[in-house]
Amino acid sequence: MRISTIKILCCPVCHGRLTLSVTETTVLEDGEEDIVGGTLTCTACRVDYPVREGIPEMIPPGAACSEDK
Amino acid sequence: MTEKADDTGLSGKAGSIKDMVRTSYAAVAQRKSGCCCGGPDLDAIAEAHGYSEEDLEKVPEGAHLGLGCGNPLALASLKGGETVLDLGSGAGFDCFLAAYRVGPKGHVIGVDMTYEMVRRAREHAETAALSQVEFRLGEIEHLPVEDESIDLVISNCVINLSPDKEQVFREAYRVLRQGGTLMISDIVITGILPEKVSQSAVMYAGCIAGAVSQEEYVRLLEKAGFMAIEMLESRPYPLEEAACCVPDEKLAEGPAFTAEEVAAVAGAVASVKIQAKKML
Repeated sequence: MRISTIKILCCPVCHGRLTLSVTETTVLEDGEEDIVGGTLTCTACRVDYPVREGIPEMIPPGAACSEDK
Repeated sequence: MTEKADDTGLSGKAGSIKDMVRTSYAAVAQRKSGCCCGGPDLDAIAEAHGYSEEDLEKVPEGAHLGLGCGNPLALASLKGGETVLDLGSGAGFDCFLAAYRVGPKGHVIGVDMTYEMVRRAREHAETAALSQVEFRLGEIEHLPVEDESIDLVISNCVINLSPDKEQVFREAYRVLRQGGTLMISDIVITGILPEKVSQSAVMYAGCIAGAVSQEEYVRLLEKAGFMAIEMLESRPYPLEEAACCVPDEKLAEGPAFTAEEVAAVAGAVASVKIQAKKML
């Protein structure tokens, strides 16, 4: 995910703002950072959403996920 | 009591329906190409849905799985730099077409609850070097998207799959900017479905058994706050198209439909294109 698009992301449960901690990035052709791994944390309800292989996993807690990656 | 179809997997619980849909589409995402059920070929499906040859040539190979039922972008007015959200983005086909329309300064976000689809879509975006398109694993009933941040919400043959359509429309309304547009291709019921079809898990994944009537669809949109609701197109949605959305092994497990049942579906199910606005 592009770092600039975090401003239009929010917590799917409470619509709170998210903070990002990054573990892995690459740089896109236009020079912007692409977050490959990390965690998005809701500042309101404190739920963590992982970013894995560049994909933010924003399924609300408690909802079943497709499979364990 | 009427005997139910042997694939009746519809317990009515939202969670179990979602799991069934997710599992089904995860299997479809593994296909190398689109429909392989003996139905119409992908190009014929795309043409019937209103896509041009140019559209098909532009998008990354493998992004079109033939799972839609129309072309929600065809009549949408989009300007460079705008932000588009696709509810149930699948392998990314409509997102990529939107990406060309909004240009490098725009944003396109695809949300899908099936990891396999999102992964495939992201791979296509990387291959096509379309960095204005991004995909999130998420549920269309709980969008991970900021209030009033989207110019156009599109969705192609997905909302029928949601057990809580009212919540989907509420969320679409929340994320749209004032003056923003919702443009949907979806399935509605226009007649009476045979019970073997309406109770079938296979036909739920095939976008028929979860669909509601056109009147109910419009009522739910109005309830969410949408205005200027217009039905732009309507065409029959035959069983053979529904079969494209179902993995082969599930089709094999499901019930066989008689010629009468197939004909009843042809007369009772429509693919429609609906536009609605969030007014200023």
